[in-house]
Amino acid sequence: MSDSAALTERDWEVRTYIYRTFAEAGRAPALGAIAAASGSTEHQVQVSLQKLFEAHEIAPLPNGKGVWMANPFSGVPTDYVVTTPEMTCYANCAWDALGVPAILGTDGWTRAKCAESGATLEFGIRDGVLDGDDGVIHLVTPLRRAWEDIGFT
Amino acid sequence: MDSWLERTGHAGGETISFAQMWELVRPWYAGRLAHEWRGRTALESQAILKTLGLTGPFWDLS
Repeated sequence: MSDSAALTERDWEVRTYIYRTFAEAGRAPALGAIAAASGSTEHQVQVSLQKLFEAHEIAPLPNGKGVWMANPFSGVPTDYVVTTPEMTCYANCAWDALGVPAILGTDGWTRAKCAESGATLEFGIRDGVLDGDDGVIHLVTPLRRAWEDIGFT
Repeated sequence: MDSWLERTGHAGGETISFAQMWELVRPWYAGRLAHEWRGRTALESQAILKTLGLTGPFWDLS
């Protein structure tokens, strides 16, 4: 399981800044910005990112030099582009495409492609209500193993 | 869906509707933007899933 007990206040500060940046700007902050905001060096931020990964809070880029995922947000382009009244961002998957309006408490609209047919799917939250194409989400990885290969999940 | 599962070798897993997912993501992501967020235990996450009827080996976090 995750190990959030090992996290320090600095680690949580790093996490909070990452989430706040995603929520406000729709993108991940750069290492240097995280370092400045948390009073850390970039190396310390990289250490924090690894600890946050082990706690299942943040996924760093494979090279460790940035933020890949802060669920439901993605720091890299994906097929799930979510538009809210305030910004546009990438979600990690269909689950997270609905997770963006959930975490923000706003509307959020997604255009994606159906993995089966290739057809464009539009769905999301409008005026606080689920709207758009009917669809289903197939989850492959059992939840307890989701962070073993978070990119695949 | 069945042909996609067969083609990709992703048989198994669970399929849920957008409506079910919307019910799940609201409690799942609640509070995560707060400065006070300090994670959630597996038991707390399991309780969210159970409330929505998402039980069984696939959803088991232990």
